[in-house]
Amino acid sequence: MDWWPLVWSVIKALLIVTFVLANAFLIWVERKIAGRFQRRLGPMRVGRPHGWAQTFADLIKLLSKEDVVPGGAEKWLFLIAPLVAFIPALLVYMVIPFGPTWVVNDLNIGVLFISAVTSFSVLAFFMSGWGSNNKYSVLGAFRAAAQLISYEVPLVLSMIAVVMLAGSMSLNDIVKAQTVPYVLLQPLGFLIFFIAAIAELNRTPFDLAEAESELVAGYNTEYSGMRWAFFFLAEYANTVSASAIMATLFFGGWKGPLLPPVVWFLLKTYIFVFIIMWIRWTLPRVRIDQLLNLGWKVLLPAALLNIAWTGLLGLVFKI
Amino acid sequence: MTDTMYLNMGPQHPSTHGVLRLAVEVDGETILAAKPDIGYLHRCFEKTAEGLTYPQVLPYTDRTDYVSAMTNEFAYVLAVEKLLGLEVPPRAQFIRVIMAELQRIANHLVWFGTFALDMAAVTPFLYAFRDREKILDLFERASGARLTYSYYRIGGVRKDIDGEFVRKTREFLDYFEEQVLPEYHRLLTGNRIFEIRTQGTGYISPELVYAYGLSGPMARGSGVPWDVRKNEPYSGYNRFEFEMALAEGGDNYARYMVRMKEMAESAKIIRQALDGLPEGEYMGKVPKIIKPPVGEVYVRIESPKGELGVFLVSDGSPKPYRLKWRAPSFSNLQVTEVATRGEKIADLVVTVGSIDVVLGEVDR
Amino acid sequence: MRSILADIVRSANSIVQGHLVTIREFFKKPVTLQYPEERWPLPEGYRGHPALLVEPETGRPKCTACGACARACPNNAIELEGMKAEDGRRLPSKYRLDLTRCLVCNLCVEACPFDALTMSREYELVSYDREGLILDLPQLLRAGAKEQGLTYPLEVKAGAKEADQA
Repeated sequence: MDWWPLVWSVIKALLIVTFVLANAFLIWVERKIAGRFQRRLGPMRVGRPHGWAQTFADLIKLLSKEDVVPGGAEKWLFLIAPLVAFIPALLVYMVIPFGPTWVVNDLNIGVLFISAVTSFSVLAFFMSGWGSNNKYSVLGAFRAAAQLISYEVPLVLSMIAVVMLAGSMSLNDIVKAQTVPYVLLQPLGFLIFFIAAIAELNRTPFDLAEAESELVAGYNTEYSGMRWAFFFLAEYANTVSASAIMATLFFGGWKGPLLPPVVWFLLKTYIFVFIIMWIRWTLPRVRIDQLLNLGWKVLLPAALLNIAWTGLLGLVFKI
Repeated sequence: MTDTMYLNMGPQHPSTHGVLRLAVEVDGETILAAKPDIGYLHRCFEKTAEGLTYPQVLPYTDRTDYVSAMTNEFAYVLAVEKLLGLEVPPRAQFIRVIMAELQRIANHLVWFGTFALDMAAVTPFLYAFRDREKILDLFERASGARLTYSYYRIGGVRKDIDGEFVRKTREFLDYFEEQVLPEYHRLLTGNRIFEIRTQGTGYISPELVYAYGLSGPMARGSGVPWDVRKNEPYSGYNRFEFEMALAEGGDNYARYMVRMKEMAESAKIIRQALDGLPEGEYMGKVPKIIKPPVGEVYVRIESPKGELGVFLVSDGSPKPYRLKWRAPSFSNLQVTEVATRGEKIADLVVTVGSIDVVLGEVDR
Repeated sequence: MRSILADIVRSANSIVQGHLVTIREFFKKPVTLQYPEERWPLPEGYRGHPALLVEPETGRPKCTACGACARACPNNAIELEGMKAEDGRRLPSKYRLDLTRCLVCNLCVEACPFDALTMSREYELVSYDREGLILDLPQLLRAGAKEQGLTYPLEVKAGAKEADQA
């Protein structure tokens, strides 16, 4: 039997997992970038120069914390919720093409796979909220779940428009079909996807879930140590994967002249990561009712309009 | 989960400005009643003052409203001088106005930063504090300290200001008017998300202003034209040309605009004061032992938070018989319950932020 | 319809403007001072804790132990006792400044009729126990002499030796 394709797949999977875990550095990068936006230095002391070891120090601290389970909590729900948040974040990387052949498993239902897997994170909110046995956590969790569900619809609709243009759900096919980046053909679709992705990531201006510590405790109050860290890491892994998906669907993924494809892919992904961070440190937060308004009354009609526009493109311009 | 729930925004909280406890009754997302519970920072200031001589009380006044210390001292020395019937030389009056207006800008910068922070816009907070540092450097140069200045004295000020101070203040004003204010307006004021968070929330009607005795930007934000600097000028404020910052909306956005305008107007006043700074003494003729004649006096000034009043009763001895500190934040805080009724929880934090409370002043 | 579109354009523009502000600040130099490697240069009148000045010629404290500072202090942070030197001049024999009570308000400096007090520029006032926060006469004279650009004790003279009893 020809073992080489299997071995190559395993190697690629390991490389991608390393890439994802290297996102631990992303936390340090975010803190430094936040500092620069605010005219200050970020971490400086833990690991000179420039405190690069800060994340590792935090990780060690979190690992050494006591694993507190609140009394009366639904034990299994409470314990498993962080994993339910973290694992889908990793699963998404399976279908994202880092290069023409650099993809773990180029499923021909790639887009469908992505939208299915990302909806798992909603479950994590329910589980942590209910399992905490804390009425404030439950309220916070329900609010967060409402937010996630509302923004999935425009997200998926904008992805559908891309699929319509490319004619295939496999991400690699979508990249190959982009003779011109799709952001030029459907700018509205990109905008919708961008806003919905930030809402799905629970980042400012849509970070009500975690920062509801304004008043009501968020869904992750009762978590400490490594379990809390899992929620946190899941958010960062999701950020990179959402940026990667944006780069793939709308900006041509690994396509680009001169430089090797992997470099183009990483460049585009990290530019989007930077933009997402930029937005976080600039904008204030919206209120929950305004958030849901935006999702249902603005983004959803816009997404439907976008699909109509894409259909028009296909019909009239035979794209 | 459908009947009303009691929430406790306890004394320790990331968003309440100081040790304030809000007992909130909510029905779902809507607030039915939000009652402030104060007293966590009570330090017996008024009673302590009865055991100290008049000059000795002064460093304690710094610490009531610690964010704007200069104006506290201002109110106190004006009260004592009124009891004594003391004349303050014009140079001292000008210096006092300069310090008070610089303090107003510094206070509004803190308020601006924390207001944005309550809405999770972290960056304006850092920018506001960076600019406030420049003002604190000016104060450090003039008085030697950054927060509790102990600068005003009965009869004048403690130290004169020199040419270096004047030059640096002008530099700061140029920087402030040309770079800082336009930057803040670009970053926050026009921002759509900021607008939808602050417009229409925390409405206070003009009737409420009169009923609760609100003052300062709380009153002017609801269209009530009351500014002690204009209506009852003190220390030569009638010499300066400035506009009263007024807004009609009565909501959080109106109060925000009032305070932003006040910062610009304060910059104007400081410029006029610097240009017209007279030569002369910075301290008047003050007796060695300060023993005001028997009597009582109420003096009010426009502190950045509202009308700061000092009621001083003297029995002829070197120590005050009774010092009553009418703190603006105390009166302004009471309106929280009425202003937030029927709003969402997220608006509660914003509304309390727009009241600009400092618990040191509320509890004394 | 037109007003909705105008509204959308205005909102989008406002959000973009905010981002332009932050990205401009991104490229400016950070204002952080890396304490304790870098320190802020203190202005001349900076108020640290009170300190006693020495006479440059004799090395004795200017203080005559009159007690005006102790009376002026709002918080009873100063305790002192005096004695007579050989040449008839009064000197402090004991001067106790309680930093846990001192407001750093400057009233003692203003009250002194002999200009014997000044505010030092020490702001790193930390200690592991309460005794470290009670400053006595030699410590205060050292701090004061430092402000004058001298060191204390200057020279061992008859008067200075007695003043150092504590």
